[in-house]
Amino acid sequence: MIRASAALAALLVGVSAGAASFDFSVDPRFELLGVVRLLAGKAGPAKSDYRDRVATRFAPFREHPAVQLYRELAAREEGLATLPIYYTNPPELSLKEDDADIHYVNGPGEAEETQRFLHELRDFARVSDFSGFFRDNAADYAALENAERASSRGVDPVAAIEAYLGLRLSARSHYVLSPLSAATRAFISPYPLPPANAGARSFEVYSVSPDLVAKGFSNVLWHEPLFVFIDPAFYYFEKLNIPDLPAFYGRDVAACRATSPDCVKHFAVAAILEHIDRRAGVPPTPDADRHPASALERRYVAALSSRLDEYDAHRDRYPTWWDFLPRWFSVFQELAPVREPRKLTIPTDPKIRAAADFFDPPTIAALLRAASR
Amino acid sequence: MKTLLLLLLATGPAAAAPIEFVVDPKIEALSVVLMLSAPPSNRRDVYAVAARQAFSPFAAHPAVARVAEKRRGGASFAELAKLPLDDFEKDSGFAEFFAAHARDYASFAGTARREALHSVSPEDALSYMGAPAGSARFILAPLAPEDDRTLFLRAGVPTGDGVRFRFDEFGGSVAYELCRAAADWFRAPAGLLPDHVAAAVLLRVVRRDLGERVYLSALNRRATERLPRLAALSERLKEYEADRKRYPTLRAFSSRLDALAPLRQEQAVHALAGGDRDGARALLDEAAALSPDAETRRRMATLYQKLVDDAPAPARRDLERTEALLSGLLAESPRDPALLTERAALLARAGKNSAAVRDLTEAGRYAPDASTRRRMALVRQELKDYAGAVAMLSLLAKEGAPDASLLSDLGLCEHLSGKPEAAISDLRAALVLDKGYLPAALTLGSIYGSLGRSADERAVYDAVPATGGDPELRKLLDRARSEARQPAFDIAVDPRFELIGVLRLLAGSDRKSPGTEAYRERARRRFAPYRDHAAVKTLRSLLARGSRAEALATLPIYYSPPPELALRAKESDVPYWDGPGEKNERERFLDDLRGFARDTAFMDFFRENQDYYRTVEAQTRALFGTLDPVSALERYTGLDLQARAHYVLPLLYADDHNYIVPYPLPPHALGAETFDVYTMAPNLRTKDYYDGVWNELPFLFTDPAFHYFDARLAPDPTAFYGTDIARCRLTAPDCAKAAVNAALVYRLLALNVPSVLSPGRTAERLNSPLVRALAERLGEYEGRRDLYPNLWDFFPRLADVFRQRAFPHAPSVEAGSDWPKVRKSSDFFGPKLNLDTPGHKQ
Repeated sequence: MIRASAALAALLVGVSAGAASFDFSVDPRFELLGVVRLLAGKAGPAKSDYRDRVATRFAPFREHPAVQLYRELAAREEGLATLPIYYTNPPELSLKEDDADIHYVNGPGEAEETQRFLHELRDFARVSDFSGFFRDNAADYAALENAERASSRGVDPVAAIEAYLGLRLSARSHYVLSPLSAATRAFISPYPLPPANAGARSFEVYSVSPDLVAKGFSNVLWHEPLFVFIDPAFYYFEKLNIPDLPAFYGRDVAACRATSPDCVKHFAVAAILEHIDRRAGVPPTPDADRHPASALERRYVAALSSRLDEYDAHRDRYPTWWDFLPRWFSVFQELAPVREPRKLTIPTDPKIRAAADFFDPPTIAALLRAASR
Repeated sequence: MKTLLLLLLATGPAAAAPIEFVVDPKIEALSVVLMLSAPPSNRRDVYAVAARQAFSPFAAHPAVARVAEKRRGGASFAELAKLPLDDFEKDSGFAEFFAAHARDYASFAGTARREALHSVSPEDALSYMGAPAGSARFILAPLAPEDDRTLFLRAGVPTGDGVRFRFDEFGGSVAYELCRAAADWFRAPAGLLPDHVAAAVLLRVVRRDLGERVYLSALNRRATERLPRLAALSERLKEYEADRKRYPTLRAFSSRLDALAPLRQEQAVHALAGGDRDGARALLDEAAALSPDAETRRRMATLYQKLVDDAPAPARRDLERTEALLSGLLAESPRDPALLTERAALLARAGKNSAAVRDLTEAGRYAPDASTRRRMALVRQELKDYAGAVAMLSLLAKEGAPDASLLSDLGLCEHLSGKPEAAISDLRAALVLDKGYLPAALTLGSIYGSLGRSADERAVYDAVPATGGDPELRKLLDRARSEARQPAFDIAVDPRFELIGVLRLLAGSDRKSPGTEAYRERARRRFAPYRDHAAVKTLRSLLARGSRAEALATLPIYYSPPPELALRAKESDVPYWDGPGEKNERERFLDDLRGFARDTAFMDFFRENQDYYRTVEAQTRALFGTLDPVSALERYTGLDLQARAHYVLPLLYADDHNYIVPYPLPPHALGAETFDVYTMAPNLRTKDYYDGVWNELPFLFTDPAFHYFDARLAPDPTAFYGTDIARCRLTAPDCAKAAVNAALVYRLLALNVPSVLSPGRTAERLNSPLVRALAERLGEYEGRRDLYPNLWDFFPRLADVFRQRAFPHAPSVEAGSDWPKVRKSSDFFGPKLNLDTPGHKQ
């Protein structure tokens, strides 16, 4: 269902329009993908007038090769969901950057399959006049965008995160309203995980959701942009301080980390999100909309969040969250517990002021030198 | 699992619209004929099963033999498709079958269309080439043998909807095949280049849509390894993309592709692989004129070297060019041990041994790496310095984890230097590392052959996987295998047993006759006038006496075909019918039989029904698939059983007796060299696997083995086997043997010996605790074949199972150092071995 509160939205457009680091939009590329997905019979959004209009309008193309192929690519849906970010609007869908960091296409035959999907998607857009449909619905999309902006209370998510971390994200966050999608998906391009993408100077963060704020800021607005800094910071902090991961994290956390490389990061993000919510003055995420946490996760998130109180109280001592990391990571040693805790440090040089610093070649060299010592 | 064959019928460039997928009746008929001439496959999909059921009665059709002969001669599937098969189609009712499966074909085409979506867009690929419009037709051949598939769908993961298919990545897609088919249009040089161009075009299309990173990743993946110049060609295409005004089509750009010296060199590789030596020389000359870099010149030298190596008498020109190239490279890098070694190899081939040794010595001074030292060893082998080669290869094997090829080379050199046991050890180790490494298998097999160890030789060849490896070596292997082994079994409708069958029919004793009603009716009509013949009366009276049943069942195997029915070996000891007074009764019956055969012209009847017999035999043979029961048992026991198995198919009465001639139970049959195992198999389909195929064969081993084991280590059966087994043996002499036989069959099945039928009732019979314990002990034998070369060596450990079950605290039984050596069945019956000498150790 498209929610519209045009009058209120019109008032609030100006609040966030000036912020250059994020945008809300209904994006034709994702909407095209949503139409194909709906025709492919994948579990879709709740029934709505809009969904019915889409189903009726595109019914004659139900057996188009793009739809057939999508139907068969269930196992690769995550990869397909991120595909639009690399391409121009339909029907051209041209690659925006030759050096695009496209993921999920390196398995056997996946590059060829993806090329074919793009070809068929272009054809689908052309023969179905998808652009005409998108234009016809422009007013509804604008209303939807405005309603979401209103719900976001004028908060600039990127600025809020940067303020809390005391660091620049070097990122632009795109919040894509996708009324045809059933789930929230997010991705960053290029992905900020060293050692890949050395030389990157900025990052584009895409968070695609049927509703951006209904289920709490933490679930969509804060979540993915935070990883722009978390990912490289954890990578280098572990390189600098933790030569033996199981010995440092203890058996349980190391096992979790071995199963899911993002395990520790998720604990950290959950703790930070509580504090950003608090600082931004937005309501906390209702329990019902929090992802279910294990006992291990609850224990660590509580301890890490509690330690962040110290960061919040002593920003004079810790101008940036990076500066606070040695103190914060000591939580893991305390909970593990470790017989002989390591002394955790970050080098005084180079100074880290932005996420992009982690991808600056001289900075990388300096961090690795420090790590080797 | 379905397999689909796609034959591209487009002869020129083709746009993707329309691309058709069809099942063609002529191609499908050929697939059926090929299916009938091939060993049964494991395919269980409904369509394949239906086809096999419908056409298996035509396995002996002349068309099947015709196609099989062409195929043996190396004809490709496309060439076979030109053969007329009208006679087969007409005789087998193929048209009706094809029409009845129209829905299946539509379903296959739908699958292919859907799965064709999983690779690069054909339109984009052809558009990239600037190719004109056309059309393409792909033929699906669901029954075609896998080896013949030119373009195929690989099976995906089974899903709820059935088995999904996907095109092989990169190669084997519709776009790839269309690009290859366009080779003539864009004037691609013959040979390898079309493959390279097709792959490069697809890569560049991927590059355009997915970017440089994905392109580089795809370029470096494993599937492109077979196209070593792909990177150079793909990079060259950037020039084409950058100036499409100048090069509106790939055809306009083809001259730029031609100019690549490395490509010319690769084309020469392809030409040489295709046997075109002159073409290869011409291409190498062209490459030389294109200012090749050092790496290309090295590859060219290797190719010239191959021209030299492959020729019985190398051309002087090839020798000179190779030496010139190598000497030129050595002038630039005089301390390159690899180059020195290559020149040494060339000099050795030219007979300049002293110069070759000088180069080898020089190469040794410049710290050659492992691969160069390997090559140096092979040159020493060429120079007949086998000891030197063994020394170098042994050192290499000790330095790191050796691979199969190193151990194989080492084994060969050891063999050549007169060390067969070391050679066998290293070659076996090579095959443990890679059981499909054909050079090791061929060398080891020939060494075994030269040592007279034919069972070992056959076992080596049989252990090699059915596919893979160099085609030429595989041909050699197939030839070696066929020379090493004639199938040790036959399946036949036998006139002697059919004669008995006719008599039983007339005597009204043909219950459960496995033949068709039509055949029985033919026999009834033909022989009805003789229902009161003396032979019929005699048979009726014999059958009335149950004690003659076994004698009647085995009698024919000792006599020649009717009407003569002469005793085949004068010294034959016909069992069950040789006692006082019995012999005369037997001879009277045989006289009656001979009279009946002559009076009724029985052999004319037998000849008239040959077609029916061949069909029944073919159907039964198809059940065996790749199974050769004698070989399977020989492989397992490690013994040459010197036996031939005969599966006799009596069609007019049900009889399932079995017998071995001479019976291998010492002291009977002393001096025997070979054994014939007869199994009456009226209808294997209705019997379970164990009885139908295996019931008698294991006795070849267990009968003499138990005899000699008991004589040496269990002279008091009760003291060894315990009361229960000893008592059982008294009432049924085969009591313990049957348990061992069952365990043997259990293990054979567990080790994936090809199955004739579902184990069925056999599984229940094998499910006794004693058989399980024996089978478990056999696992020890299988795991330690280094300690137990054959099952006789292990027999004390196996028999120990009986002992431990009867007397749990008794010490284990083991073979002493004086345990007699047995390698073949006749050793049990030979005069030289005194196996009865007691010498047990407990």
